[in-house]
Amino acid sequence: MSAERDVVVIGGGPTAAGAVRALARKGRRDVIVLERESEAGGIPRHCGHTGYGVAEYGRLMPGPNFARRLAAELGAGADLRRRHTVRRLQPDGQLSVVGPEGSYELRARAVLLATGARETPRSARLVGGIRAPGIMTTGTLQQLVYLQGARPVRRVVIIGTEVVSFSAILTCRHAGIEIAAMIGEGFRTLARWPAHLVSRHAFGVSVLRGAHLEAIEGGSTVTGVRLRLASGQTRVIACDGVIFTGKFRPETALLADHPGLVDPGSRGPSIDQFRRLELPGYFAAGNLVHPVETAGRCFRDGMAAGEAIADHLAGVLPPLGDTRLIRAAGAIRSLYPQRLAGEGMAPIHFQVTEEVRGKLEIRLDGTLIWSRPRHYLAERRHTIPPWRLAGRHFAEAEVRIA
Amino acid sequence: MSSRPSDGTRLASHGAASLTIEPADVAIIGAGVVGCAIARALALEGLSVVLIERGRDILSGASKANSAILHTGFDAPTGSVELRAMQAGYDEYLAIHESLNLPLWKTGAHVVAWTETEVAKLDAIVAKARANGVADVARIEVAELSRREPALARGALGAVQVPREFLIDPWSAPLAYALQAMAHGARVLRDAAVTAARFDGDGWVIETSRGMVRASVVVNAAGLFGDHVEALARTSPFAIRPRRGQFLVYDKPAAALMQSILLPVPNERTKGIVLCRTVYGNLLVGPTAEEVDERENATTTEDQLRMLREVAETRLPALRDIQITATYAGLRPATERQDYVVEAVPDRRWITACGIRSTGLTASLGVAAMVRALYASHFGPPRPVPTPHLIRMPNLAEDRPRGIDGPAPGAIICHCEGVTRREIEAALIGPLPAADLGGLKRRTRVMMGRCQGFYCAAQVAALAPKLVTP
Ligand SMILES: Cc1cc2nc3c(=O)[nH]c(=O)nc-3n(C[C@H](O)[C@H](O)[C@H](O)COP(=O)(O)OP(=O)(O)OC[C@H]3O[C@@H](n4cnc5c(N)ncnc54)[C@H](O)[C@@H]3O)c2cc1C
Ligand SMILES: Cc1cc2nc3c(=O)[nH]c(=O)nc-3n(C[C@H](O)[C@H](O)[C@H](O)COP(=O)(O)OP(=O)(O)OC[C@H]3O[C@@H](n4cnc5c(N)ncnc54)[C@H](O)[C@@H]3O)c2cc1C
Repeated sequence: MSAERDVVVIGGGPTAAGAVRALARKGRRDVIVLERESEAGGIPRHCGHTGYGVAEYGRLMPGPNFARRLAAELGAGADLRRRHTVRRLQPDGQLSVVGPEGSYELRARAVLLATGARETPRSARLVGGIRAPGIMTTGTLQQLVYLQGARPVRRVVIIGTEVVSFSAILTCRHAGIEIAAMIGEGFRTLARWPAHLVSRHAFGVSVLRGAHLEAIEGGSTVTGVRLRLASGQTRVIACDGVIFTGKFRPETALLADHPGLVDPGSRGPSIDQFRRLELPGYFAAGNLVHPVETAGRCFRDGMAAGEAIADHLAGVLPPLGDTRLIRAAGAIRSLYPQRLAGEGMAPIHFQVTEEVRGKLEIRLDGTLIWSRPRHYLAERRHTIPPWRLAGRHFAEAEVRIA
Repeated sequence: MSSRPSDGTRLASHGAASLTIEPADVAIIGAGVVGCAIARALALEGLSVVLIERGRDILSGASKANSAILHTGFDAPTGSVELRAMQAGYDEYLAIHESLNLPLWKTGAHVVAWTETEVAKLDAIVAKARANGVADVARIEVAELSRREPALARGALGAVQVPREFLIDPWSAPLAYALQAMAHGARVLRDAAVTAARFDGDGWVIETSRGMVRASVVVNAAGLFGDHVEALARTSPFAIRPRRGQFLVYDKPAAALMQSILLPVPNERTKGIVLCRTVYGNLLVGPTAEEVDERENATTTEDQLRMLREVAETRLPALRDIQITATYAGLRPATERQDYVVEAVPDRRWITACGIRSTGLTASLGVAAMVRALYASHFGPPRPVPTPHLIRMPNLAEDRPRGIDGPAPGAIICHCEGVTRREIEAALIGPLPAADLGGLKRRTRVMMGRCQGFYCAAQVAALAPKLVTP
């Protein structure tokens, strides 16, 4: 077995960069970053449009520039190993890694999982119809357009109205791809889109709300989508491409051997306020924990994880076992942190399954301590401030929207 | 398609240069698993073979989507051609798979009854298996089933074990057959649809979209278009009635939930919804059985996909938390008959191998042996090659080392399936390189995983630009 290192970060995106910056500030230099792609930077590598970097580097820049800055920072603050893929997590911070020269094992006192999230493809949405090229996620479209300079489709229908759907619009505009329509299953645009960009770019895209995608039509290529409209009518829209946007899922392949560490609500790892998993020595942050956030927020989350890891290495974190559970109920799809360790408090963030008007209730060990009616939108992060629970003793808290 | 072009006419070829090739002993129409197996069998007999396929790549028809089960034939119609072909094919696969480096997962199967009506049918299933010569099929206790398959939902009322139902790699196997045929001189013409054919008493002049092929004998292995191709030789004695089967593929963690193949008690029309692993390490749920008009581009339907998910989650409740990686549909080349059509038309120097409906992956080697025998008895004595050239297929199965596990794997392109750049490059060269994206996926598994290209699409496009953005 190889010598034990201080920290290994799995993934080299914005979250990893934030962690490495915080660790460097704390004087932690024995840090390895394992990134499976040939370049670090994560998702922003192929987000050709602007929208990144203000908080981290002081100015607005396109994704690829931001990714290069992140990569440079990772290279400066850590031993950055590109084309190194982590294949398995074992207890005690032991990792199985494969690099271009072969497989090896690595051991660290702290491991940060920063593997991000990906969009849900057509298959997992159970959309019927043909299978053909031209059906893809925003991520795939962006790679083909920005990294390959390709124009894989001419006229698309965009499925979804999240922030990333807006990214899909920009990508199409950039490549000269016509947007036939944008389809929202719900009746409200899910994203709070950046207003200055919307007015410039999204104008003119017709958004069909409350429409259901019944099937993708065509033969060996796509010829159109068949929709069931809110009115109950069926409508076919001609296109040669269908872009499935959003519905992000944490990239949890590494947790496949450890199903008990995954929160069925968020589908990411369950963490405490120090971003610790229940497996000693393991931490998680960024989109892996709560998809989907902006790169800037992931960077800050990574910084917080880096600080917690420094405290862990210094031996000043409360023990892992001594936790209070926070459970989601009712219309709440997921929340985090799912556990609070020691005496401390932390903001509790949650998401709802779909837009809901209801009463938010907090129960401590079964006793209702707070409730307030409110309106909650889907795909947004809602927060319960830490002082709401401060000074109270409990074993289990339940957060519910009734 | 007209069956009698006027003498000497040339049908327009689709851009591709007309080819000139040597006349062959045998032209096989259709490079599905059956055509590939026949090409292998006849090439190993020392015959010159041309395998003609209308798709851009082999396996463009029924053979691109199936459950990948190597069947014993325990539930096949007793006394049928199908049963004979399956059992011969099964035995030959067991005999040759190691020499071709093809996987064999000895999982076994369980037929599980969930209602009293189904329980009542179990003894008949055992009796039929015995009649079919599959003697190790037997009832087992439900407690024993639960011990073997702990993730299975409660509520099973009875079970039958079928110890020798196995799993194989449905794409590497036919590819290996085609490559072995090529090693013995067979030529494979792809992107070459047979549009017409003329019999001149001694042999055939076959018009394809890429030019003309002469052959002394024609084998019709055209799968879903078997009746159309048959009409070139005679009034087709059968009509293809495509039967669609839709599937869900669950992500890799699901494979840990099951050891064996889970079969329902069949009804008259179909074997019902099967749950089984794949040798690629996923879990497969399906197929449906629907009469459809489509002969290509099989489509999925939301209602059936949802039905499959419900069946899957009812049988294996833990699937609720596991992502669906892929959905797809296949088409069985069934006919109005209850059996395959494997026969010779001696005076037209023609052999039919059609209607290979829902068991052709298993039966292909057996059908090929039947075709070899028909050829020998009607068209000429065999001249078997002394020592067959062996083909070593790259391993795609999860239980044995793959490219990524090797000493210096180099760049990894597809992270979900662990596919290296070297494997992709290898699939793009050689005697039968991938000719479309589907072909590349079948040869390497690239883009077949949970992200469906979210992470690797650009790199695959860079390696195989023509295949990804045609
Ligand atoms: C299409 C699209 C457009 C977007 N547009 C914007 C925008 O305009 N502005 C904005 O602020 N945000 C945007 N985002 C969101 C932003 O890109 C993400 O929130 C951010 O990249 C998440 O950072 P991360 O480090 O958590 O994950 P990622 O950026 O996904 O990085 C994870 C890294 O981990 C690596 N990895 C994964 N598994 C392993 C393993 N086993 N071994 C080694 N390495 C591994 C991956 O290769 C990847 O590089 C967009 C996202 C998408 C998909
Ligand atoms: C849902 C489903 C599940 C199945 N599960 C199993 C299983 O678990 N085990 C098992 O053993 N079997 C299984 N099968 C059955 C098996 O897949 C089929 O029996 C087998 O693929 C049939 O092969 P084929 O070569 O006869 O037909 P095809 O694969 O259709 O091959 C015919 C080929 O001919 C080509 N062609 C057609 N017309 C022309 C023309 N005019 N010119 C040139 N080429 C032409 C086509 O493009 C095609 O490639 C399943 C089938 C389905 C659909």
